[in-house]
Amino acid sequence: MFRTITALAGVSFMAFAPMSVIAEPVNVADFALAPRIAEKVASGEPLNIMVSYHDVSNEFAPFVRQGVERADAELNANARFIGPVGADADGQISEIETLMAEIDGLAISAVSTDALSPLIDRVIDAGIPVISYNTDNPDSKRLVFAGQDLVQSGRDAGEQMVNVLDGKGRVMITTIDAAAQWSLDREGGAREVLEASEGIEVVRTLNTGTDPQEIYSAIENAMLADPEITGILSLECCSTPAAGEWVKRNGQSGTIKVVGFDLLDQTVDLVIAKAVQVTIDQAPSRQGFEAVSLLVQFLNGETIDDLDTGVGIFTSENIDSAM
Amino acid sequence: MSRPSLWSRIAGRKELGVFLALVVMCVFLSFSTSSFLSSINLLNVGRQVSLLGIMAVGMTFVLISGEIDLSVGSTYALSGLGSGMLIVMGWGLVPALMAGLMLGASIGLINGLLSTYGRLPSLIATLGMLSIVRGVALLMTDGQPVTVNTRNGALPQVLEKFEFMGQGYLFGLVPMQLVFFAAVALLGWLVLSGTAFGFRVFAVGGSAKAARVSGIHAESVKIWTFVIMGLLAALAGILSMAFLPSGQAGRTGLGLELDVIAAVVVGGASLSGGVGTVLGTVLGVLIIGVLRNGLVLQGVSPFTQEVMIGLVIIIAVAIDKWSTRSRTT
Amino acid sequence: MTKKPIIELIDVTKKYPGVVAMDTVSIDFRPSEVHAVIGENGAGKSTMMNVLSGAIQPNGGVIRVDGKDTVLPTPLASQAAGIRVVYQELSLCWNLSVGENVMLPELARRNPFSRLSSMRAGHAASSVLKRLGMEGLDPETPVAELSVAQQQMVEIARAVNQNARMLVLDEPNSALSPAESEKLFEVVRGLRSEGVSVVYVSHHLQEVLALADRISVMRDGRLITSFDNTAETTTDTLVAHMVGRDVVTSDQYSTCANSVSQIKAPTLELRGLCVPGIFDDVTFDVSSGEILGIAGLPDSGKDVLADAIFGMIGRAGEVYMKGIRVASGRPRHAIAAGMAYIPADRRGAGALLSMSVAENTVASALGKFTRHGFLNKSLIHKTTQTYMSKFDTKVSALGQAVSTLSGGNQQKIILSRGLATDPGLLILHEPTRGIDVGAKAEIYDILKDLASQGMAILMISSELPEIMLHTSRVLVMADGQISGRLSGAEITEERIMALATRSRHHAA
Repeated sequence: MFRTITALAGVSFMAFAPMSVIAEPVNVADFALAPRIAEKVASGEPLNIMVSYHDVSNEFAPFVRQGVERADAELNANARFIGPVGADADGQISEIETLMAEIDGLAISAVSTDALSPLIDRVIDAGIPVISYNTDNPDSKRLVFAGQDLVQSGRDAGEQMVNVLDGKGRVMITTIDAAAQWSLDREGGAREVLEASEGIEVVRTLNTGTDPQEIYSAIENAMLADPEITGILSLECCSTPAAGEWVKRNGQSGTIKVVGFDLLDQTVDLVIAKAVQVTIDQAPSRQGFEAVSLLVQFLNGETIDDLDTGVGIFTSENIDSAM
Repeated sequence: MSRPSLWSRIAGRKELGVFLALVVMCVFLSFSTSSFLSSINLLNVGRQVSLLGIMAVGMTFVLISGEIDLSVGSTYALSGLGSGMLIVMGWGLVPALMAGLMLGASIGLINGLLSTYGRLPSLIATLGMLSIVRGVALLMTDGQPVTVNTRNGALPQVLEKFEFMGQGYLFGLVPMQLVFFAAVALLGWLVLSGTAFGFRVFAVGGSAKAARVSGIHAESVKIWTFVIMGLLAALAGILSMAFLPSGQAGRTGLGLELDVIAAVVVGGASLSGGVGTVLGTVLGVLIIGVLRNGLVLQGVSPFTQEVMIGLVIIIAVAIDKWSTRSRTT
Repeated sequence: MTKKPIIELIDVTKKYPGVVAMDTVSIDFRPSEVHAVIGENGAGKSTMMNVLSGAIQPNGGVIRVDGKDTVLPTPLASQAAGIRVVYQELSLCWNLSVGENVMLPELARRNPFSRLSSMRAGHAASSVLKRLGMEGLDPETPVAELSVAQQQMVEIARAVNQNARMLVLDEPNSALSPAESEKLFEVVRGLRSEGVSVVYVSHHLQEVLALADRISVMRDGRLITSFDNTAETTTDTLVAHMVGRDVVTSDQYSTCANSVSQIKAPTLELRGLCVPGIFDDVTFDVSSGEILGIAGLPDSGKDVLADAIFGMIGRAGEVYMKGIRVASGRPRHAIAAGMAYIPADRRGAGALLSMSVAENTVASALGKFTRHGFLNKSLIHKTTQTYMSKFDTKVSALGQAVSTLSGGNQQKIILSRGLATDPGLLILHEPTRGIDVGAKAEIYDILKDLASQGMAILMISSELPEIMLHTSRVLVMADGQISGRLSGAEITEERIMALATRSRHHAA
């Protein structure tokens, strides 16, 4: 038996800050806003809010975009969803540079925190408010962060794994990009919890690559190399269904436990089929909406603060609510 | 002009070096890991390289004709996702497959026309197409993953056959993808080494001018090789879709073109045209597949794996070049 | 002529698996001497050149430079010894100017950050060009704009500019017109008077007789003989040494070629053929059973004629084969109409070098060798065998790559390829360029046989003896037009040269 947590929107997890600096609440009164934006706010014209996402061709992009589009319709803002095709820091930087003169507020989810920080600082220095969402840039001058803390979500996944394994087993961690900051953060959180549990051994972190066929093959090879593995913890959207699919096809549903992330169609099917025990939703649509909303609030004089967009934890018992 | 002995014919074959390299790798892996030599693992390796192999057979034609095709990873994505979407929309299996294959063939046709009558170097033409086709796939799917299942609208009897193509086993043993690869390789070998068309591909790649003097229509030969390449990339993409059964335009087949070209070159084909065999390509594909599998079985770190794969590509091609050089001087 | 040799080879041997390319060759090269080395293809001339240039290492024997035992392990070592080789295949950078090409070895040695002045390169180059009597050549001209003959001069200038003590020229005039050859001879004689040892490797026996002080003959990897060139030496003595057997010499042919069998209706008719900027209004017929020769200087337009007739390039005007019009732009239409084409550029446009003997033989007539799209390999082998024995083509296996064969054997295979399509017309462009005497005679024999069996043959050639002795009619081109038509006794060297050098304004 394991407990089902549904972290509801708005419930805050502010008790941690392992790798990031917590932002102070900020108000526009303390911000050197560019005069052209101030005029625009005063006249009540709709504000140009750009939401830059680190890869508009990945599977979350459509959900984030939906959130941005909803904000565009509901709030007094021209919200636009932008970003490079394929994770490409240079592409993301040059697009923002090109658009800078028309941006009244920027929300950014960065390809690479190091590469984007100087740009964020430049945009801030130009008097344009910048917040980060989805992926944080704690070392930059960005105002606040809206999203899910990566280390914490890794811990959540780790806890779910400990639960479904009843505290003992051999766990393999899978990720499509072992070297990426988001992956390292989430892996750190997951390992922290897993390694604290005495009966659990983390055998390896498997780097699967990004092509779906490649991901499946990598998992297949790794499972064959170590038949003793009893749990697969996937750190992201895309190796989750591959792990579930492998378990299902090899008749191991329920024997080898899978904990992963996100609500891709295929993942939902696999949760229903009980090949994936738990999947953690990052509410990407909400992240997109809140990013715009925070900037609009800020420009209209309200004080804003970091916002945890929360996670939803889904098992076969509550998966219906995700469909 | 007597017929050479069997042994000297084997020793003289260009593929011998690649074959020996493969044997050495396999022997090493069977001793150093317990699971490499299991039939399950070997069939897995076979399945894992099948899609790469199907495309590599097509690329062999293109490279021998003296051209190159960088758009294959994108074609793989577009055709697979296209067929998948049509099945989800309730199409029958055959029309959906035909549509996907025709899509691949048309991309090949455009590549061929641009590289011949359009007078663009194929490197440039297909580099452009790589981007265009990837973009079309993203537009077509709106960036959303495409998952082929009944919940999304696929007809159950269609889905069953579709999934059999990708996930099934022939006689309950041989993965269907491997069956497709074997069939494509056999057909490719017959066409390349046994038909007038295959002959013309070699002639055009060896010397386009001399081929023209011989009355060979170089342009149409090259266009056909691109069409074959497009068809095979589409087939691989569709099989990938049938296997997973899901794909996403931003990730599916990303960078695959380089793996395909690497496998063909490891198999002894020349980027300057005129040289290559399907057998060599199959061996090249197996080397890459066995290497990937072996490195994971050995527990080598993912970053070291990248280095190893690069080294094998360079060493394999270098051995080939050095040995042919010593043979001719 | 008792000066000390610059280079001596003593019992030098080079063995390859199964072949002895140089067999205990002893030879010396002295200053102020033109030393001609002749021999059929495969006689060992190229191997010796490569030993001298440091490109290959002998297995045995001694190389002496200035009387001292030396090894030449690399081309650089050979160059340091003052040896320069100018190969038949030119090695100029087509994108650079004359001056830059001449100065290239020097520029290559400079440190990478030194400043370059094309003016200085041009200036330095022009003094060398002047020394070689080539003042007319502007050092600023890109070499791509030069004629083949001029390019060759640039290559020689480059070699001379590096203080060559010994200059090896490999088939230097195979692409030159008679006037250009004469210019080359002047340059060679000039270098000799400056003390340079010139090694002259050639198939052109007449020139060898005219130019050489000493002649060495090689055959089957051995040095057969070395002797001073005297007034008594004739081409026939040279040929006898080279082939080691009796050959039907040129003179014996001359009577046969003109006695043409009965000429029938024209096989090929050209009406007002034109390639803008190259030639215009070319009209003539070729009939079954005749060998029609086309002569002319390199810029006369004759070198583009064959490509135009065969449809390799766009053209205006009409081409008829056996009365049926042949469309332009598609060589396969020309083949279907019954033409076969043996181009001049044997290695570039003629042979499918990377492919086998058998594949080359059947390449133009693939349709005959396929069943349901699949190649009928036994028929291919049988047909190839037939042609190989018919023309006495020497190959070790039908699967042997054509690139490994001598020029003469390559040419016979290209000829076989053309004939495999059962053509009515054979177009040959420079049919014996770079081919040794023995193989030349064989090819003339084949052509004569084909003509007597009713083939129409069009032979475009820069070699006057070939044109004079083996054709029944001759058209001479000058300045993009046909400047004269000769037949029978009219065909003499003087008349051909007179027509070839006539400019457009004087052409009647």
